[in-house]
Amino acid sequence: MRKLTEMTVAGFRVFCNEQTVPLDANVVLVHGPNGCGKTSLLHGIELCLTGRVADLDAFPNSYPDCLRHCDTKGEAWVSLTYLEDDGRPKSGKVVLNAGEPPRPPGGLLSRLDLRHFQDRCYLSQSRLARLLEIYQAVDKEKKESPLATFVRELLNLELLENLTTGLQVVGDKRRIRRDVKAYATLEKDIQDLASRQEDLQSKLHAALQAVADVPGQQHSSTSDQESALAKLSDEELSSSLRRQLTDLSIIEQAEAVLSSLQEAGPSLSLSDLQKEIEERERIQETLATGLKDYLAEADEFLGRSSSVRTTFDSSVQFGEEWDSTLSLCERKISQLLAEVDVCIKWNESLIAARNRAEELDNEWTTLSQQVQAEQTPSRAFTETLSLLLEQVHDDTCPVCDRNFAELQQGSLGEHLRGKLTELERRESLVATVIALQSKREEQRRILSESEAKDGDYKLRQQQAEQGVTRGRSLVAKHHELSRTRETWITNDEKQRTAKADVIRLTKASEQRSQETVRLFAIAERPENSELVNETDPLMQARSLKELVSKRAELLQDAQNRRIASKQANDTVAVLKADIDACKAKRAKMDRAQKAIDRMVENAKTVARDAAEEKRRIIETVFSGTLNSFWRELFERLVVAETFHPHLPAPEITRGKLETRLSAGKDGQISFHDLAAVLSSGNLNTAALSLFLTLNIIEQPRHRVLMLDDPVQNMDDIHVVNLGTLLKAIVHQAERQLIVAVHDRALFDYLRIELGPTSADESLITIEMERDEAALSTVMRPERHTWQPDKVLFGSATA
Amino acid sequence: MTQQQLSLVIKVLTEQGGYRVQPRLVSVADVNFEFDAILRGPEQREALVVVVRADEERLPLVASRVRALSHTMLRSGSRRPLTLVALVDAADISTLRELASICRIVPVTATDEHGVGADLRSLLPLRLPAPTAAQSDTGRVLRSTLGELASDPLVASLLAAGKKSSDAVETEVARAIEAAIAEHLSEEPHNA
Repeated sequence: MRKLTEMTVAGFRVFCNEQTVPLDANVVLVHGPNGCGKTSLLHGIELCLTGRVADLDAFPNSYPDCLRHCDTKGEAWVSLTYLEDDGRPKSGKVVLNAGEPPRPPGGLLSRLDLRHFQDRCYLSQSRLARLLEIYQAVDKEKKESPLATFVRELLNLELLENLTTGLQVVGDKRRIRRDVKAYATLEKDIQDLASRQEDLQSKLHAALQAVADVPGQQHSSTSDQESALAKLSDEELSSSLRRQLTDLSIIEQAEAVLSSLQEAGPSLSLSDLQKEIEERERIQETLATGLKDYLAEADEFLGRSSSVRTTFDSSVQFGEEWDSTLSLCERKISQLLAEVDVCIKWNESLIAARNRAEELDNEWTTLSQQVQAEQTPSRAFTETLSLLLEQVHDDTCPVCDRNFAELQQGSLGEHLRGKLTELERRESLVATVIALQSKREEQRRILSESEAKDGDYKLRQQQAEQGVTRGRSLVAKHHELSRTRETWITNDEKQRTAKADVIRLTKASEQRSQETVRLFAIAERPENSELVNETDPLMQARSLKELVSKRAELLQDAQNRRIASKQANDTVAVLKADIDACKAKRAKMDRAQKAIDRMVENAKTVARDAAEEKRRIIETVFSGTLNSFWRELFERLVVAETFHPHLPAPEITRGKLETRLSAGKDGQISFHDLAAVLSSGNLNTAALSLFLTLNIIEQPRHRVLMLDDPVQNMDDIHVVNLGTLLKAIVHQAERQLIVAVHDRALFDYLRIELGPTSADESLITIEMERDEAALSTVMRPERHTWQPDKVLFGSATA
Repeated sequence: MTQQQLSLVIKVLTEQGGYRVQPRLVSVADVNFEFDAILRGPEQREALVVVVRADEERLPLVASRVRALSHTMLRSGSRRPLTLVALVDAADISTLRELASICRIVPVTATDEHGVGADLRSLLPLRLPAPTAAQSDTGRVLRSTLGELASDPLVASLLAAGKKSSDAVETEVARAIEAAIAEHLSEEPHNA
C-alpha cells in the first residue's frame, strides 16, 4: 500500500451523517478537540484495512455497538480507497450492523500486510503509552515478545534459528541417546562387545597359561621310566597303557581270588565232618526207635492195623501220614473228651431225675393231705347249682321262694356264683392230684431205668478219660519226634556243606596254582624282575599291582597331559576365533560410531556457523543499523539527554531469542528499566522513536504512517524536533503521514512545519467540529499546496 | 560566535543538509531583513533558514528582527517554514526559548564542525539505513560460510529441513544417525 486516497464514513462512531474526506496528500494533519472524533477517523481507516479496531475489540460484548453511531437508524459503513504499490487504486467497504461484528469479516489487507500495518504503521494513543511494555511483554502463545518477534522476522533468522535449535541435540549425547534409540543401542552394543572382548582376552590369557603349564607339570620323582614314557608317541602311549591296565586287571583279579581263598578257608575240618556224621546217625537211630514205639502205640490208640501204613519209614521223609497220624490222635482225643462230656452230662441228668422224683413225692404228699382234709365235691351238685343260677333273677330263691336278702347280705346271684367258683376249684385240685400221681409214677419209672444204666456210663467215662491221657501222651511224643527230626535234618545240611567245602577247597587249590602261574608270567617281564624272588603269590600280586598301578598312573598322567594340552590348544583356537569375530563386529560398530561422530561434527559445524551467522547478522543489524538509527531519531527529538535507549544484541538461549530494551550512557552503563533513567517525556520520545525506527528499518509493506496524538508529555523543543523529524521521514523515507493532534497551537505549528515547501508536496488538514445538535462530528478538510510567496532573496525590490 | 563558527554552520547546512545559501538580505512584502546568513532548502524545497550570531548584546535585536520577519511572512500569506539558527553561548540558550512560539530555534554552541553538525542535526537529513530485506537469504550466506561442507548430504538435508522447522531438523538428525547405523551394521547377520 502506497498511499490512502479517500475515506467515507456513515453512521460510524461520532460520524452520524455520511461524509467523505480526501486523504491523497503526503501529510494529512487532523485536528480537533478531545472527543470530537480524531481517533474515530483513524479507527475507520484501521477498520477498513484490517477488519477490526484493535483498541476496541478488547471489549467483545460492546464492540459491535460502539462502532456504530448511537443515532444511526440506517446503514452504517466505512469505505476507503488507496493506491497499491504499483499505483493501482483499491477500495473496500465495511458495513456495520447493530449487534454484529463488522461485515465483511476481515479488511482489505492480507494477513501479513494486516499485521505489518497494525504493528508498524499505526501508533494509537493507547499503544504509544504502553509501547515499551508491549514490545517487551512475552506472548504466552508464541512464548516470545513482539520485540523478539520483530527482531527474528526483521533479521530473517528463521532458518538459522531452526538450525541452531534443531541441532542442539547434537551437542548433547544424552539427547541423542534419548531421541535416537538406535544410537543408544549402538553405544550399549559397543560397550557390551568391549566387555565381552575383554572377557575373552582374559580367558585367552588363562588358556595360553594353561597351554604353557601342561609340559611343565612334571612329577617330583623323575625316573628313567618317566623319561622313557615322555618319549612315547600317542599310539605307543595308548598301547602301553592298555597293556598295563590289562595286567592290572589280571593282577587285581588274582589278588581278589587269592585273598578270598586265604581269608575264607574251609568251613569244617574232616574230623569235625566225621563227628557230624556220627551224631547224625545217632539221632537217626534215636528217631527210628522213638518212631517205632510211637507208631505202635499210635496204631493201638487209633485202633488201626500196622499194615495200613504205607509210606511211613525210618527215613527223614515222614510224608503226609506222619502229620495225619497226629491229626488222627488229636481227633481221637477230641472224641474221647466228648465221650467224657456225655458221661458227665448223663450223671448230672441222673442226679436231676432223682431230685425231681423226690420233689414230686413231696408235692403229691402235700396235695393228697389237702384233698383228704376237704370234702370231695359232687359233680352233680355243681351242675345243679349251675342250672339254678340260670333261674335266679332276683333275691328270691327259686327253690324256697325265700328272700335271700332277708337272710344274708349281698344278692342271691352273687352267692350262688361264689359257691360255683369254690366247687370248680375243688374239682381242679382233685384233678391235679390225679395228674401228679401219674407224673410221679412215670418219674419213678424213668428213674428206675436210669439207675439201671448208671453203671455203664461210669465205665464208659473211665475208659474215655484213660484214652485221652494216652492220646495226649502220643501227641507229646509226636512233637518230640518232630523236633528230633529237625535236629537230624540240620545235621544233614551241615554234613552236605562240609562235603561241598571239601570240593571247593580242591578247586581253589587248582585256581591258586593257575593265578600264580599268571602272576609269574607278568613278574617274569624284565621291568618286573625285582619281583621274581617273591614267592608268596599274594604278596607278588600286591607288589606287581603297586608297580603296574604306578606305571599306569604315569602313563595316564602323560596321556592326560597330552589331552589337556590338546584341549587347551582347542580352547585357545576357539577363543581366538571369538575374539576375531568380536573385533570384526567391533570394527563395524566403530566405523558406524565414527560415521556418526563425523555427522555430529558436521552438524555441530552447521549449528556453530548458523549461530555465528546469526550473531553476525544480529550484531550488524543491531549495532550497525537499528541502534544507531534509533539513537539518531532519539537524539533528534530530545535535547541534552545523558542516557539514550538502545536494544542490546539479543541473546539466544536454547534457540530462543531474548531481547530487552535498555538505556545506556556511551555504551558503558545499561539499565533495563528505562523509567529509572528517562523522564516521562523522554520515555515517550523513546517509544515514539522506537516505533518510527522499526517502521523505517524494515522493508516497508505499507508506506502509510498513522500517529494518533503522539505529542504527549513533550515540551516545545521536543515538538519542534518531532515536526522536523516527521517531515524528514515523509520526504526521505517516502511515507504518507497521517497525524492527529488536539492542541491548536501544535496543529498550527505542524501545519506550517509539515506544509508543502515545494510543488510536489501537499498537505491536507482536517478540522473537526462537533455539531452538538446533531450529536455528530463534521469534518472540514482543506488541501494545501505550495504557493509562491512574497519572500524575495537578495533585494528588497526583487 | 565567530565568523569561523558561522562558516561551519553554513558549511554543514550546505554540504550535509542540502541547503542553498542565499544573499544575506531577504525581502518580504517589500520589507528587507538582513541576517548573518540565509539559506533555503533542503534541496529544492523552500523552507527558510536564517543564521544569526546572537551574543548577549545582540540577542534582543535578533529576537526583534526574527519576530518581525515571522509576522511579516504570516501577514503576507507565506507558509514557508522559518528556522532560526542562533550561534549562542550555552548560557544564553534559555533566552532564545521565547522565540520558540514564533519559529523553530536551533541553537548552535559548538565551535568545531562535528559539534556544529550535532547541533544542527534536526536540520540535516536522516541517515536512513538500508532496508533489512537484504538479510533475507540467510541460507545462501550460510552455505557460503560452510564452503565444501555445504555439499555434504547431511548438511544439505539439514539446510533443507531448517527451512521448515527446528523439529524437522531434529527429525533429520535422528534419521541420518539411524541410517548410518543401519548402513554400517547391515552386513551383520545378528548381534553377538
